[in-house]
Amino acid sequence: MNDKLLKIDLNTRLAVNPTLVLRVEDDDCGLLFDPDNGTVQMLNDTAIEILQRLDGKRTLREILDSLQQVYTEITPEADQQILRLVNQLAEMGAVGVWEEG
Amino acid sequence: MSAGIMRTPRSLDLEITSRCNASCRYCYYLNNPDVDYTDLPTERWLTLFDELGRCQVMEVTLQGGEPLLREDFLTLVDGIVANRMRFSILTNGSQLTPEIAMHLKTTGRCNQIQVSLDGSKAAIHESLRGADTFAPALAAIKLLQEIDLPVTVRVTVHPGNISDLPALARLLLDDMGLPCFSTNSTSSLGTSEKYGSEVFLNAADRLKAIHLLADLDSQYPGRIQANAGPLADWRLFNAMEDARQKGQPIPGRGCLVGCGCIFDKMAVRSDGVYVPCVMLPQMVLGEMGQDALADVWVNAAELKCMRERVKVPLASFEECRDCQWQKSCTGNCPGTAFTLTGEINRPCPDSCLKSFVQELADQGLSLWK
Repeated sequence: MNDKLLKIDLNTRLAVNPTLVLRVEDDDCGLLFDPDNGTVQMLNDTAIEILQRLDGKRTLREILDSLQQVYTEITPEADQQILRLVNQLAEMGAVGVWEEG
Repeated sequence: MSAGIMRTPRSLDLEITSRCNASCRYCYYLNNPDVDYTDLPTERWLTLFDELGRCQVMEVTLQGGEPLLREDFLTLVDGIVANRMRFSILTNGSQLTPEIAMHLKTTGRCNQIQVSLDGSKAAIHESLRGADTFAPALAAIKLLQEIDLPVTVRVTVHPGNISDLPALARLLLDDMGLPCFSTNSTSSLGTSEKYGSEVFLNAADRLKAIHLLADLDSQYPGRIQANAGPLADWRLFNAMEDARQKGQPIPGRGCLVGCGCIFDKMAVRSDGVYVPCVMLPQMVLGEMGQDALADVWVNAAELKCMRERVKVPLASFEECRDCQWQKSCTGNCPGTAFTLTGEINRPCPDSCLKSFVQELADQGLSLWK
């Protein structure tokens, strides 16, 4: 995991920080729990869907495509929204760039 | 999945051992009928921790008995840490060594360690806890402070330590510099039933404890905590009386809403049996290793029933029908209600403001000065 993110775009492959717990509480909400400091970040259903797909293998564009296959109501602004979300999460150290090998 | 119920509990209370080296006369844990007081081997607990990790459980509280009596205690802690959880510990402090304390600190995952202390002097602390328990408890608190682990103290208020509460508050808050401590009182469960008036507060005792703790609460604002016992009662009763006087019931009350634990928490007995709460040790929901935690959490009939209690209006109970505080009451602890009445979805008689006020009046006493 490389926590020094230079730039995140739709071709970036991100993964959730493996020390964190992505906890899906019900169909509408979940949270990201950091056991090392006890902090909790509440997540809405969209954020959960995205975080569950951040496996370090798929690009953000591929993740968007997979979401569009499931959710027909995704807007043209979704790519900017997903970038905003993952940048926020990256600043918190919740997601990072996957380094192969 | 049931609407509004989390897929798995956020936290669990784990009674990792049934052994204890103290002999507290108000112990809620030991001497409950229908409870198998056996301990499980290390591997069984580690397997459970793996399951808790997969269920994204966030924290566990290690208790007993005396949890530090387990020879594999630190192995269990490491298993919790490896599964991305935080932990708390309830202890009498007697088995805490600098090595254990340092190990706990290096995990970086310890929420708090609660040490039981019931008096400012050995004679008072040991009156119900047994000989040679005071000095080790005090030493454990100091050790935890020295290495900067979050330590808290739980004081169980009983007839023999009420008058000592101001001295105890001075010891803990002024002399030792703890940020806070918490209080409760004897529950109608386990060993305590054998000792009656020695451990339970009668109405006059309870009133005295309430007024003393209320004064201490003013003297040390925000530093005395209580989820049960005289101080918790005082805060609850005051809010209910205030609402009654204003004619504005407290929102969300008037039904059996007391205790929200069943919506985010569960417990495991030392023999591996899942129960809703440590105060309901006889209510078996399933067994670790045989039943999947997530399945028990969502589908256990007893839990489903308890979660429905929030819809039961207090007006449906004869004893509550004419109560002037009914619309601001929560019905209180379902565990104690079950112990005292044999029914889970009933208000708890032990915490009833109406009957307490009546009991005091019969003795020429009043709750409100």
